[in-house]
Amino acid sequence: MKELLAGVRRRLRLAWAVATAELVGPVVAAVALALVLVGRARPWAWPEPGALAVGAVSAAGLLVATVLLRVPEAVAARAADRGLGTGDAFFTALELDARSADGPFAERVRARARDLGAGHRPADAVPVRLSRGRWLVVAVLATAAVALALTSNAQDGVRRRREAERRVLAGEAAKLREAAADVRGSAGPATAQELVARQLEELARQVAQAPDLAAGRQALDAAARDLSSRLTSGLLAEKAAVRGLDRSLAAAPLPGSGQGDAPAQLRAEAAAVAGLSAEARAALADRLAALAATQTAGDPQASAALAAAAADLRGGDTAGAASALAAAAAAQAAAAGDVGDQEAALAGLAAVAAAQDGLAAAGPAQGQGSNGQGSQGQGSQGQGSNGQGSQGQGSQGQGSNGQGQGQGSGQQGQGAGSPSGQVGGTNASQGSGTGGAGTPNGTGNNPSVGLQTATVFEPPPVGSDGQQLNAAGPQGQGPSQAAGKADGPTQRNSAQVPLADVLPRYAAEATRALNQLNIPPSQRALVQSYFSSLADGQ
Amino acid sequence: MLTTITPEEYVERAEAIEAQIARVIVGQNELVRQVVLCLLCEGHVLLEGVPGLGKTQLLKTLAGAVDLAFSRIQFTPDLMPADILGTQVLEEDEGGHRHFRFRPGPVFASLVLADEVNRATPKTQSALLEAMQERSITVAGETRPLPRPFLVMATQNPIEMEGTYPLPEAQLDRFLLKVLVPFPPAADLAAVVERTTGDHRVDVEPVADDLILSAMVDLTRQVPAASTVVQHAVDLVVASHPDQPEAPEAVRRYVRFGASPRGAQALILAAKATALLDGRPNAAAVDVRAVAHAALRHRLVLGYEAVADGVSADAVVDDILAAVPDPPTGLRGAP
Repeated sequence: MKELLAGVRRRLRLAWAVATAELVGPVVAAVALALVLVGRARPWAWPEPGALAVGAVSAAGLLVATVLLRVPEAVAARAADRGLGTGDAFFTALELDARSADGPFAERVRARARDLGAGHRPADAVPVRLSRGRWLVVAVLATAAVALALTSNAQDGVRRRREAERRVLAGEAAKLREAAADVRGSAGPATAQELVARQLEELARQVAQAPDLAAGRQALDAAARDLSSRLTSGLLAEKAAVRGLDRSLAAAPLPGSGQGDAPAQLRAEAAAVAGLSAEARAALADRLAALAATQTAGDPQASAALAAAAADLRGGDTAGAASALAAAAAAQAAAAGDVGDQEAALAGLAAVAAAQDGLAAAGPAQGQGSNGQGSQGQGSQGQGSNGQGSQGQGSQGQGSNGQGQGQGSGQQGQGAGSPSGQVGGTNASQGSGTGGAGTPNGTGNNPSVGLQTATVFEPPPVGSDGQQLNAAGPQGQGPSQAAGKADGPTQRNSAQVPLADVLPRYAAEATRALNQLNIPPSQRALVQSYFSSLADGQ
Repeated sequence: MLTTITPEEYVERAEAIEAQIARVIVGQNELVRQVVLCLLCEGHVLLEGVPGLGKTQLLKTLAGAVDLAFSRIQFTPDLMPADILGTQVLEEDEGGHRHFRFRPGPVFASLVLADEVNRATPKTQSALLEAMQERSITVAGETRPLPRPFLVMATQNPIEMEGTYPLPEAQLDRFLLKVLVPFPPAADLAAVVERTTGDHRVDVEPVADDLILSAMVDLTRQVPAASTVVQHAVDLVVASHPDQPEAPEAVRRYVRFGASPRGAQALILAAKATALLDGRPNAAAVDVRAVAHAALRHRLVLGYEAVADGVSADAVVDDILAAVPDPPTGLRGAP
């Protein structure tokens, strides 16, 4: 009997599993089908995996529950009695055993239970009956769900695109975190770096959690605007001025100031100026005047203080000169701190710009003609050479077509250089061409795309130091026009100036131009980085 | 002397009694089985049927098949309790002394046939109450035990209401089973006619005495019944009460009062005897359900709606059985 009851317990588990599957199977299959249908109607990523999960979890849960199902022996005996129609023989025998009952019938009951147990199989006691109707429903619903899930639909492309976007967002977020770490590790004011680093980390979190590229772009644009707002238009000039003064004083320290950075030398000079001789004061005044001239564009306060110090020295007012030098030192220190803060913001802006570029390259522009204006085709400036007018070439203006493709092409800008070059002499003729004006017919909607290929005006490097500027090019093809006699070897003139002296002004001009052209923050950061690198490398 | 009997002998004796009855009663096997059940349970039985179906003959034959003291009481409206229980008579001995002596009535027998029990007045009917329940009577302040086994076998006619006194519920409850005597099938009826109109005389031989019957009654009570079987009997009785949540709609509508605890006792006791007679050493739920109609039909007090709708107690019991199935295992998918 015990063996039969053990088998009956196993059969009861199986019967329970089948009955439960018949009970919940149609529901699970219906839910899975509903999820698949939702997945075909909406571009959500979770419905079809959810349908699979519902089926898998249900099956696994049923399996686990079946294994863990507790089937007491009394229940097995009861089931065996009912299934075999033994008239409660097994259950009564179990109870008699439990009570250790004796009497005229106890052993007879046990013996009868043993006989009945030996003559039957567990499958006879607990037949597993399948409900064909329910299983048919399950089969139909499950087949429909699988078929619909495997059949491609319009939402699959959307989901793939979103998945790709999610990967791009995650990648850019990782880059932003790396940039945050770089900002923390770079030289500069720690407070400003930490602020920017935290901002980048928060931005990375937002980008990582952004549901799509558009949301990521919005977060990046907002961050770029915020970081850009911390930059001043005169950053490059200020930086060039600050670094230039530092380097100038490092190369040629002020007399009696010893070594140290510019503020330290200026403060030391302020303390020592009273003890200088007249000749030394005159030389110092000239030096300070020259330094003041270099600071005019980038650091007007320091320039004014240096000029005042030079004037005081020339006027014999050593006390006033000392005060002015101290003011110059303070202005230089303040400017250096401000440059450091802005450089941190600029580094953050560069990281944001890179992320913006990454998102822009990853997916289609937000087109439909609503997000921007057609980029302007810019004609590059035509150049004439050697007194001969060359044909100015307009660069290709490009604009996205605004149809969600992110690409477009404008008509080629056209420029025409006027052949107004004049022969200046036999060895040096200078010419100048007027740059052609590009025809801005680009009709795209993504200004950034057009600007990515726009050229930036970069003047040719000035001749090397000490070299005479000669126009040694070949003779123009057109008929030359005599302009006069040659002047002989070209003399060194004022056009040959140290880069450090003109860079602040160039940088200021570039920044001003960028601001006027409504340049996107990413491109603005690019230009600023360029001039910043020039300032660092001078 | 204490007599023991084996289950096999139990079955043999019971079948012998049924065989003796079958020599007189044609067919009616279920009726005979239920009457014998009452004998083996030492439970009183009430036979109800229209006149001429052999109720009295069945009980007389049963009395002849067992070697027990038998008495028959024909209940009439003028029957008095003393006519059943016995009375005190004044006697004078040889010395001239007078004293009361109790003269036992017909109830002092092991088998008492109360024929047409509903024709006596309630006062006389109630004279049987103590005898049936306590198996003793009290006369003149003195309680006298009745012989063992003691079995009241009553008959009543359901169609003649004029001049009858329906048995009170308290007395009905004391009958173990109420057995309906059906009209015999045509084939059986032909055999009855043939058997009773010829000159063939059948003598019934006793096949069991009081000792054997007492041993059989004791053995019946020793049959084990599992807790689920007892619970099933209890569930049936509980479901017969209209104020119980388990009661089916028919009970709520037609039943005024459900079966008493004696109903559950009757179910289990009769089930035990049924199992034994079926050759099984334990009572089962199926045995309980087999005797449910006979054990419960006279214990249900039906209301006016039942009378108006023509609903019988058996129909209500059917609904109870349908509402309280053989208790399942409680496990999904299990038989």
